[in-house]
Formats: sequence, C-alpha cells, structure tokens
Amino acid sequence: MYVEKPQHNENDTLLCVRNLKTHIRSDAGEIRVVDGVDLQMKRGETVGIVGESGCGKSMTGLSILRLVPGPHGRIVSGEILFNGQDLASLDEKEMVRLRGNEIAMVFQDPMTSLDPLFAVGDQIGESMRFHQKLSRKEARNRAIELLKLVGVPSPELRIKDRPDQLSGGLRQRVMLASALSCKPSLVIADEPTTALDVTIQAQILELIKQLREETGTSFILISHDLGVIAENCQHVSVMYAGKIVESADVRELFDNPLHPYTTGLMESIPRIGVRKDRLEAIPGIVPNPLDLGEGCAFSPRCSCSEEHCEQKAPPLVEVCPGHEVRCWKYCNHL
Amino acid sequence: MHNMLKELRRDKLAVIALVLLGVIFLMAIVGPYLAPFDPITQNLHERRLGPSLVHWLGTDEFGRDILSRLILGSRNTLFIGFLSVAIGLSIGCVLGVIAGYYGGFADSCIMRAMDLMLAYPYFLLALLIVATLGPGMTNSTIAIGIASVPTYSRVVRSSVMALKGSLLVKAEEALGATDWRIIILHVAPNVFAPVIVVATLGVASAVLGGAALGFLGLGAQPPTPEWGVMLSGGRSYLIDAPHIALAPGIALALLVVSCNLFGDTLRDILDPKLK
Repeated sequence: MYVEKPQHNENDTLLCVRNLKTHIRSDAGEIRVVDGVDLQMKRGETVGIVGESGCGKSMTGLSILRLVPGPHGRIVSGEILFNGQDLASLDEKEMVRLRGNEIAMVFQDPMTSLDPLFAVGDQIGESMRFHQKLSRKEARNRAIELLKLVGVPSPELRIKDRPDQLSGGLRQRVMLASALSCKPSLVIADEPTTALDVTIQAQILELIKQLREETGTSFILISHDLGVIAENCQHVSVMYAGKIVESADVRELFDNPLHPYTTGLMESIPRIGVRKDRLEAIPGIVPNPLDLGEGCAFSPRCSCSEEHCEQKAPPLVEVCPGHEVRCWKYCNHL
Repeated sequence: MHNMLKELRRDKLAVIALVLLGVIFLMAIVGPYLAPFDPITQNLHERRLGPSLVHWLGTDEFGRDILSRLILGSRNTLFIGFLSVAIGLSIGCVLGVIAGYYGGFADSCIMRAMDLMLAYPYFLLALLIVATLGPGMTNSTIAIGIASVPTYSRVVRSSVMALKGSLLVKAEEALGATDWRIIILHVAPNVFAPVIVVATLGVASAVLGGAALGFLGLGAQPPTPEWGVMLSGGRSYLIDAPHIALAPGIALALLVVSCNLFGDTLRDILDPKLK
C-alpha cells in the first residue's frame, strides 16, 4: 500500500545540521534562540530533542524547514544538509517544493492546525494535489488510504467530516496523515502529543513508532517529556538555552546521564515503585535569553557550578563514542 | 446553506428584514413596469396633493407621483449603497490582506494611511472626495466607497493577523503551500464571515451616506429620482405637505433597519461560537 521513494543506502545520513544559529530580533536586542546546534540523523532513525519551554527546540525544527517566523527571525549561519543538499542556501521556490514533499511537520495543537472550513479529506489531499498534481479523485482515494494507515476507523465516511466533528486524537491522526501524504523521508513532530490526554498520547506515540517501521520515514520528535522520547527515539539531544548540552543514544543517556541538567530532568520525573515525598526540581528558571553572559548558560542553576563555569562556556566534548556533553566537569581529561 | 435557512427562520425579525429587502430589490428590478406614473414629468396643476386613490402617496412639489419616484428611486439608492460597499470592500480586502499577512513595513504604511483616513469623520471624508471629484451619482458612490475602505481593511487585517499567527497557516506552510495558495484557499474563506457581516451593516451606512450627499445636492442630481434627493425636495414643505419628505424618509429608514437587522442575524449565524 505504501510505496517508498527511491531508497538510498540504508545507513546513509539523511539530515546533518551543523552549527545552526537562528536569531530573533527584539526591541531589547538580538535573541539567540538557536545557538550553534548540531544534529545528525540516519535514514529511518528517530531522533528526539528534549528541553524546557523556550529552549529553542521548536525553533530548531522550524529552522530546518526554513519557517522561522519573519520578519524578526532569521537563520544567521549554519548548514542544514538534507540528502546532501544544503537547505540553508536554497531559494524559497525550491523550499516550497521540498516542504511537505520531502520534509513534513506536525504541530502541537491539532485543534488549530486544521482549517475549520474544509473536510479533512480535502485537507489531506491538498498537498498531494499541489506537489504531485493528483486529480481530485486520486487525492481522495489516497486520503482514504492514508487515514486507514493512521488508524482512523471507516475512513470513507471520515474524509467528509470537518475538523470540529473529530476528537483531538483523530485530528492528530489526520495531521499525521497529511504529513505523510507525499511520502516525505523526514517528519518533524513538534510536541505531537502535548495537547492530547494521556491514553491518546500513548496511542499516537505507538502510531508514530508503527509508521516509522511500516514506511521507513524518519522522525524528529520534539518534546519536553523525557518519557515520550525514551519510548520512541534511538538518539536524544538535550537542549538548554539554544544549545545542545548532551547528546547520546537513548539507552546510554538514560543509563548514564552526564550533564547536570539532564540528571536534573531525570530526577524531576516521578517513578513508579520508588517512594519519595518530594520530587527533585531544578532550582531557578530558564535564563533570560538576552543576557546569557559568557559562561555556561546552566551555571546559575547548576549544583556543581564552579567559578570558571561562569566565565567561559564549555565546548561539546565526546566522553565516550556517540555520547557528547557540554560541561566543564568532563573536560578534565582534555 | 440549508442550516443557514433554518436558523434564519427561527429569527422573526430577520425574516421581516429579509422580506423587506426582497421587496425593495424587486422594486428596483421591475420598477419601470410597476410605477403608475412617469417619475420625471412635472404636472404643476397637481402640486403637493395628499395621498389619494390616484396618487397613493400623493404628489411632490412639482406634481410628480411620489410612489412612482419612490419605486424608481430605489434603483439609484441601492446602486449607491451596494456599489460603494463593493468598491470599499474590494480595496479594503486587498489592503487588509497585504497588511495582515505580510506585516512589517507594508503593514505600517497601509495602516497609517488608513488611520489618516479614519481621523476624518466618515461623512466628512466622503464630502471631501465628492468635492474633489465633482457632484453626481457615480462620483458620490466612489466617494462613499473610498471613505469606507479603512473600516473594511481594519476588519480584514485583524482577522488575517489572527489567522496568520495560528498553527493553521504554519501547518500549511510546512506542507509546502505558497503564500498565495494559503491566502486564497484558507485565509480568504476564514475571514469571509466577519467581513460579510461588516459589509451588510456597511450597506446601511452607505445608503444613508448616499442619501445625505443627495440631500446636500452633491449626489444624484434632480430630476433623477433618488430617496435622498426626494427627502431634500420635501424639506421646504415639512409643515404644509409632510408626506413629500415622509415617504422617502420612511422608505430609507426601513431599508437601513432591514440591512442592520440582516447583518446582525448574519453575524449570529456565522459566528461558530454561538452555535
């Protein structure tokens, strides 16, 4: 049912982001929302980006699609190599051809990301009619197939429904269907389950996992929820104040978290079976992005912060193969 | 559409308004066949006659049948009302969409220009434009149309801005839709509801504006039958022969009230929050 696009080599790199910097101009000055992010993912892999609100994870996703909200936001520097092609240097026309066709994005709130005036079938079909020049009827048939793929019951009837006739979970399935409609090789899912209740969350996550296996589509999963990431991703990057502070395979990261921020995040999750009166919270709040200073952005909240942490920002170092961390604690052996 | 009719029927006032509007429209369309007398030929022997079986609404200061003039005048009055709204709406929509969707410099330029226009009272602005263009029905239509541009552009802009910031547009962009595609396919239908409500209410004020310009002698020129002009002609005889001014006045009031009522109902129907 689902035909893959010409398959490249199994193990080749699908996306490689190097030193991506996205800034937003504000009255108070330039905000470095994404500050030198590196990201690499193989075809068919799912990569997670975790972090608190405002750490720049959504902006990273939007930057990859070159959808940073203008006129104040812009990509300042960096490379976004997708299938070996640098997206940062493409013109807008080529980007339009690529969006939805090669890279698609699913947003947080399925309540507002569908047009209330259109039947969902038409909305799923829209990008296929646009990118692949399908006829109305072909698009309709494909929409039914896609709805079946994302597990919507009786899709023949559902395609005529308007979004307000669907539940939140169904709407997010519709969003996934329209994201997958042109068989993109990468789907960026920005908090795809945050607006849904817990049981539906689990269903959608299970669906994403299943879609990845069935279609070979790669996913970038952006979330603030470590649990979501743990379930679904092979590789995780933890973001803080626009920078990646730790990046590792999912098992390695959960077994052996190194950065004080990552350990802090883990300790703030309740665990079944462990009796604890209070959860550990990370003291303080996300720093004001306008005055980050010279040092490590996490140092004001860090329990092991030392004097030099506040003076100089640490580099990202590879502690063991595939496990990188940005903290002075692990720079000793250098 | 079916639902709309059903909801319309529930609202008694709206039905009355709709029927009245229908009658006025019908009058405008088949007026020449309906009017019992020629609306322009004067008959000075029958000046200022009260209502009678021959002249149902009496005759005016030049002996012309008021009913005939009212029927044929409806065409001119509606012409001014609807055409000026069409002018204002089309310019206002284009400006509003550009300002709201693209924002930034374009937005500032357009909206400051609109603010400048809004600084003048609506009618004063229309008066100013008609003074520049010269009196006449077409010119007064254009003048009222232009004077109403800021109203429409502001409504369109704010709706477009709200949409532009929504995930809907972001999601469409992420699916590879171009700006124009988004504007035509998704923004336009979504701003249609608030705009059409403002436009229906706008017809009422445009009709009044046109009549007012006609009253001042800047709109339709005598002997053209137009309700504002008729009102102005009857002004001198308000005490001796009040029916001359009363008939077009009541007609005008009914038209304006119907437009407003219909606009209100339309707003209730089109507002998804009230469903």
